[in-house]
Order: sequence, then structure tokens, then C-alpha cells
Amino acid sequence: MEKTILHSDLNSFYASVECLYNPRIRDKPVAVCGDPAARHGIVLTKNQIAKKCGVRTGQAIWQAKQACPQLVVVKPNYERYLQYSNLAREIYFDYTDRVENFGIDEAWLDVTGSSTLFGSGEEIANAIRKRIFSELGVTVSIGVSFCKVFAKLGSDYKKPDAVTVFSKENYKEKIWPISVSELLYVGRATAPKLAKCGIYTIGQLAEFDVNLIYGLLGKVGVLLHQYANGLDYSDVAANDAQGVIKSVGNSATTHRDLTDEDDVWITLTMLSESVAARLRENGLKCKTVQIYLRDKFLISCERQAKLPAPSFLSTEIAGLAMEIFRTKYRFIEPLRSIGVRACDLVSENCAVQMSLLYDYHRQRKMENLEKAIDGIRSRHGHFSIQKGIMLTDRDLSGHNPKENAIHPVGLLNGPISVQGGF
Amino acid sequence: MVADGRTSAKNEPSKKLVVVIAEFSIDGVVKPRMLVWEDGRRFEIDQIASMQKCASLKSGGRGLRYTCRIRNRWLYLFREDDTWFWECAQ
Repeated sequence: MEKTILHSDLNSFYASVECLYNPRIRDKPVAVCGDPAARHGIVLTKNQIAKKCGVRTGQAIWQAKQACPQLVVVKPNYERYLQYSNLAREIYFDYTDRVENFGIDEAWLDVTGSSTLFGSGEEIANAIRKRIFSELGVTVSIGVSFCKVFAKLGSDYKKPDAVTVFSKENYKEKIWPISVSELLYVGRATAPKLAKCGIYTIGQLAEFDVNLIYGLLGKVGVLLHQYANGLDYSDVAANDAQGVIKSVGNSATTHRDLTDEDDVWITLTMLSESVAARLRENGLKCKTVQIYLRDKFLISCERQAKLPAPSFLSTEIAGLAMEIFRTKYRFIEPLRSIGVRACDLVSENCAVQMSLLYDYHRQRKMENLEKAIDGIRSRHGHFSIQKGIMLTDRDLSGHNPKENAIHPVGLLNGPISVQGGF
Repeated sequence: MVADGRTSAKNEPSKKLVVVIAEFSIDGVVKPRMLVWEDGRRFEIDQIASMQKCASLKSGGRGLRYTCRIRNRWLYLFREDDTWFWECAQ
């Protein structure tokens, strides 16, 4: 049976919400930007008027103001955006239980089983589009198709406030002329490789010899070839489905550059506390710690090392992170951003190969201590109990890294699997 | 009857917040019964014609919109989370 899949994309999401709440700026070019004082001063989203003036997502505020001097710059309100995202989801759930989020403002809906109740995919899409505008005051563009990849292309095809249908009858005529860089997973690295083979459109990719694509890009190439031909068999996950957590990480662009090891230690400690707390929340321990470093010239690198025993202790994670930093990185230029990631995860109760050299008694005591800290923080707030080092520089340690965390998501859950014996 | 209500935070200048006395029924339905104006005057809500989830493009916001009649005038009363604001019904 042919599936009916919708991909819903809230248009210029942050900017639309800000324009709704402040009618005075609605007819002006608006950009929602990070805090320049915290060195997050880039354009996160812009409205349609700003887009026409040449404002682009990711631009620094001064660049955006150069492109559009009348630009109204608004601070983000993540709490409100998350609330809006949940309200939109509530509307989706009125039509199906198979709703899979793709970021804060996008979602796939499998409405195959709802068509007898609510009508065709296009009718459901139009009903959702109208309800989101009347109940939430923002516009949405929805793609309707028989697979997730084409549904996503549909939501990008016509914006704002539109529904686009790609059926098995019309997809060659409508999708194939589109630039191949619009296809999911064709990014800055893949598009030039495809261009070298003369592939500029999705149609050219679809008709290209799959063996040559495999030679060029490996399994990902075969996957893209299948996508271009509408052969995407992935299901829309049910609403309560949770992907397996593969890693837990946190990074920060600090208020000022990190110039010495003390600065790095404070930041790594702060980030490790957040990573360790999230590991404990999910009942996980990590075996490997990875650090991410980016200097003031925006040159970045990642380094990693293994822990002697699986751990969710911030002291152990931060300690190893600092050791990696000292031994595997040449600290020459000041650092702009830094991150800690716990990977190679296992359940906190898994069997462990014991070592004579590791003090398990001390680890157990430290685990109890950090769990007690979690309890105090949940009752009295993050800053109710802190390490002494955090008080030495509030610029670096003065925010709770667990707040305002919007986690990136991917379409592929697990390794790439393609059909056809590749 | 309708004077200017309180304006909200400076980033939402056009929103007219108002104090409401409401009735919470045992099945969870909330119905506004009375508006309390800034100067302390109280206006009883004579009729609620409809209740629906709705965005307010005029004031800026969204919530449950009650179409209310007060002394033969119609107005929209919005309940957005734990605050109430009103606008003229046209």
C-alpha cells in the first residue's frame, strides 16, 4: 500500500513567532539574532521581508545590517519557541499518532491510516495549515508525498503558507529539474563531487549509473541515488519512539577567548558537569571522552581518549578532558569555543571488567556525591551548589549549560543500509 | 465601557492585560465571570458565545479565545497560559 507522508515546516519559525507577539515590527525586516555580548551575534532566522533585503541565516549582525540598514534585531526566546513547537505537535496528533520531529520547527507525519477519517493527504495538509495559522498565528508549508525525502522536498518547494503534492505520477516532472543540492544529505562536500560527474539536478542523479555513484561516494551515493528515484522506505517513527542515545555532548562559545589553562579548566569543568548530569539522567556511563576545540581563527579539531572504567562522574570526565587537552593539543592561539562529548556509552548497571589499579570504592562514593548534587540542584536551582573554581571567573562559568539546549537531529537512525547488494 | 487596560512588557506593547475572576468547573473547564479594571471597577460577563483556540494577530499572542458580551458590547478575551488579555470583537 502506498504511504501518505506529510512534512511540515514552520516558516521562518523564530521570526514569525516574534512578529506575532509584536505587531509593530510585523511589516518591517526582522531578524532573530543571538546575543552579541555573549559572542553569539549571528542571524538565527529572518522574516520574508529581511530575506528579500539580502539578510541570510548565519550572517553576523553587522553584515546583516549592512545588507539591510532598517533591520529590526530581536533576541531569541527559546522557551516560547519550544512551547510553540509543542502546540504545533498537538495539532499534528489530532490527525495521526505517527509524528517524527526533525528539529524544533519541522516534523514528518504518516497519515496513511488516517485518510479514511480525514481525507486525502492534501486535504489533511490543508486542514493542518489552516489550523496552525488560526490557532498559532504562524504559517506553515507542507509537502505531501509517498516517501519522507520527497515530502521534505515538497515543504521546501513553495513557501510560505503552502501545500505541495509530489505523487508517483508527477514527481519526475516536478522534482527531477530541482538542483541536486536541495536533496537531503547533499551538502557542501557532496554537491561538488556530483558536479564533477555532470550531475546538477535530482533527475540527472536518478538516471546516473548506480555503480558509478557507488564508486564515487560509497554507500551514501547509493542511498542518494535511491532517494532521487523516490525509493525511500524509511518509516515515520511513532510519537513515543526514542532513538538510542549514541553520545552526550555540550559545547560553548565563551564570552571571551580562553587564553590560559585555567580558563580551559573552568570551561571544561562546567561542560563536564552538564554532560555527566545528562548521562546520569539517562542511566548511562561513557567509556570515551572527546573534546572539541576551536581557536579565534575558527580552526577546529577534535581529540579523544578512553577512561579506565565506564563513568558518569563529572570529575573523571573533566579530568580526562583536561588531560587530553594538555597532551594532545598545542595551545598557541586563544580558544573561542570548546566542547566535551561522552561517547562509547553503556548502561550504568552493565558488567565491567574489574581492574586492580582502579579505586572502585572511591568511584562509588563520588557517584553518591554527584547524585546528591543533582538532587540539590533539582530542588534549589543549578547555582545553589557549585565548585569553588566556578566562582573565580563568572564570565566563563556564569550560565547553566543544560539550559537552552536544542539538540540536532538526523534522519538516519543507525548505520546506512541500502538495498541492492551494496 | 471599555477603557484602556494595562499594557504588558515593552516587547509586547499592544497587549492589553486584564484581571479576570473565573470559574473552574470540576471537569476542568475555565470560564471567565468578571473583568476587574485598572481603576477597580468590575464588569460582569453576561454571556460567553464561543470558546476556541485562536491566535490574536491584533494584540499579538494566542490562547483560548472567549467571545464575551459585557453590557451589550462584544469583546474577545484571551487566556494565554496564566494571563488574560482582551481586544474588541469586530
